[in-house]
Amino acid sequence: MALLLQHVIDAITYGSQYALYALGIALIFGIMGLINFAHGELIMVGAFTIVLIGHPGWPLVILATVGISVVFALAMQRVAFRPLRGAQPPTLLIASFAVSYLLQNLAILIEGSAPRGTNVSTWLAASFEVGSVSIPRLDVVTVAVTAVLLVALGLFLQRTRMGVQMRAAAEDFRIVRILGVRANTVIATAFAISGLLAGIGAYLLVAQTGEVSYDMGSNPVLYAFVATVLGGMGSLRGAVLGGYVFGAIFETLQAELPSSLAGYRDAFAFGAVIVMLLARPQGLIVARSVVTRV
Amino acid sequence: MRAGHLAGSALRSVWPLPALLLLVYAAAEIAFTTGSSVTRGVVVVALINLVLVVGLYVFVGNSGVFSFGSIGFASIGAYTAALLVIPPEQKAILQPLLPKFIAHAHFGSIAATLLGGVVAAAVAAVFSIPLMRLNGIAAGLATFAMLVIIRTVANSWEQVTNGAAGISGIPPEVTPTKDTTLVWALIAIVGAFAFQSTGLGLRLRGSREDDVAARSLGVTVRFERRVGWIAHGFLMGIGGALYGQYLGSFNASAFYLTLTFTTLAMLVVGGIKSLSGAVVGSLAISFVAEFLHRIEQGADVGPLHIPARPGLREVGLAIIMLTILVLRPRGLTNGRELPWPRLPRGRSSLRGSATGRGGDASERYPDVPRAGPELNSPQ
Repeated sequence: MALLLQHVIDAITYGSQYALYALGIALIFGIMGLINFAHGELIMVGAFTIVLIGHPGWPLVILATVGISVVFALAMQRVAFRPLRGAQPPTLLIASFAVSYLLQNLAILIEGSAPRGTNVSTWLAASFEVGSVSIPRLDVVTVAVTAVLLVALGLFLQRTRMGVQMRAAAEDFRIVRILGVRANTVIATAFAISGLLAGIGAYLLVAQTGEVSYDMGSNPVLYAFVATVLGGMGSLRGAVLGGYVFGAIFETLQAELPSSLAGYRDAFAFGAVIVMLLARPQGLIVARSVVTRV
Repeated sequence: MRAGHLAGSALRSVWPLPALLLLVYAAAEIAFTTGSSVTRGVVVVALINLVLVVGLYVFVGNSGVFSFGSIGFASIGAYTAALLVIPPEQKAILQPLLPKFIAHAHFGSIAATLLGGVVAAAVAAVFSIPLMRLNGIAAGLATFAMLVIIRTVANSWEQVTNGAAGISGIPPEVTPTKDTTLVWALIAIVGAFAFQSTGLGLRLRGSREDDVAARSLGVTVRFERRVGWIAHGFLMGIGGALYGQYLGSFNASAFYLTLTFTTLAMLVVGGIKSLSGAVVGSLAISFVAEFLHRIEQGADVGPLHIPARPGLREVGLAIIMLTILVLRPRGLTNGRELPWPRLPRGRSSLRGSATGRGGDASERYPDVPRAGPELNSPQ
């Protein structure tokens, strides 16, 4: 029973992390059809900020991490993606591949390729003990922070003028522009929000692993990408749902796969992506923008 | 058209082939004879990359569907060929768990390379069943998922691939030389040109330009794509087999995101829609990469000392690729084959561009962003 509870807690924590990453990817995809592989590098630059800034107290560290991630998000939007707006999705995907490769190798160029260790917070590293179950504080914080961010993002999209414009843009960008919405502002805001999500994700990830390296963003993005496909590309609710579903699948595979097959965990996860694309290409929650209008 | 022009037009239609063969041959020979011993190794790598990029082009260029997973087939080719060229005595020591029929097999380099291509093509045929049902971005994502699957299996299948430790002990005498890789590269170009000139190749290219119109003319599309996919799997397997034998020892990570990125970069920089694009792109990027690599290792340019900078080559490549994507989205060749040589005239460039014209609305109206991809486009 305690073991099962532990697995459930792990699954929810994983799910929260993936939901956080997936949301950043789904937001951009919904608006401009770009699968941003460089989202992982936003996490990476945020993580490097934590290492480089030292220990000025956690509020400042978080502020700096998020700030740097947002700046990089806006910069990659302006330099690489804005000139390509309206290109085919595969072209955009290749461009984001190039941005990701560029930032990873810039990190190698400046900081070297050896991973750096860091201790983010001793408070977060401790655990709550509830009966025989020990719950790391970090897990509680991760779940809580994700929940708060989801609610905040939901309110932003529902209640503010910019949020409404953004949702409209995700549905039909062309019409929205004809109606006089500023495309550049909407897209820049979307990138800023994805930078914010990446920055917070970076803080939580480094608190968990205690390690920073140039390629640390690759795996989170790969998994988040699976989550967005599962949930339905372009749908924000789908991305969140997909994140939690993937967290559950991931934890189950980890716990249940016999040790001889444990190494193949990712193969099963990505096999599920192909099956999902075939069986239900629109995902669990169908975004209105992907319904083909002829 | 007047009868006298018929012979000329037939010559023109095959003209890109000898031109490309000559270009690759000349580039390889010049770089090899004028360069140092380091450059000679680079020429071999550049030619192997050329095989991989031409292989990628056979599917991506002709069908217009992006594949982010083709390097997986190169990986399969590499493992297959490597396991066949290592002498059985050595395999018994290095990989005692190998299944019998692999443990006892021993082939020469050429046969092993061909078998690498055949096994890769067979795996491609299996993957084509689910993948070729998909279109557009969904197909791209699925090929990417395939890459991760192949990589994970290659990294975990201790019995055959030796897991993360990888394959070692490939005898140095099978290391591809400049001459053997040059022959493979020229064969790959001839094969790709022959494929795109067949009726099936032309139908596939037609579906690339306009899927709906091609279907209305009776092209099944899915069948053509499947054949193109298997043919490209074969070439990728050959390229991977050569690369594996060149490396001497490798593991699954040698055939993952970096190689995927560099080969795609070469194709995109050259121009996705033409064989000339694949060839020109891979030659150009190989040249630039080698140039940047020299700087990366530190150099003295006159009085100026440039310190060693690991990562510089990759940064430079990424910047070049982004620049090309932005400034010349259809690549250096603009999606055309090498032009028939003639004196420049006023309107010749205008007429030439008609062949490279894409039928896509977003290309004609670059300002209009497309909200969502066609995940649901009808099969």
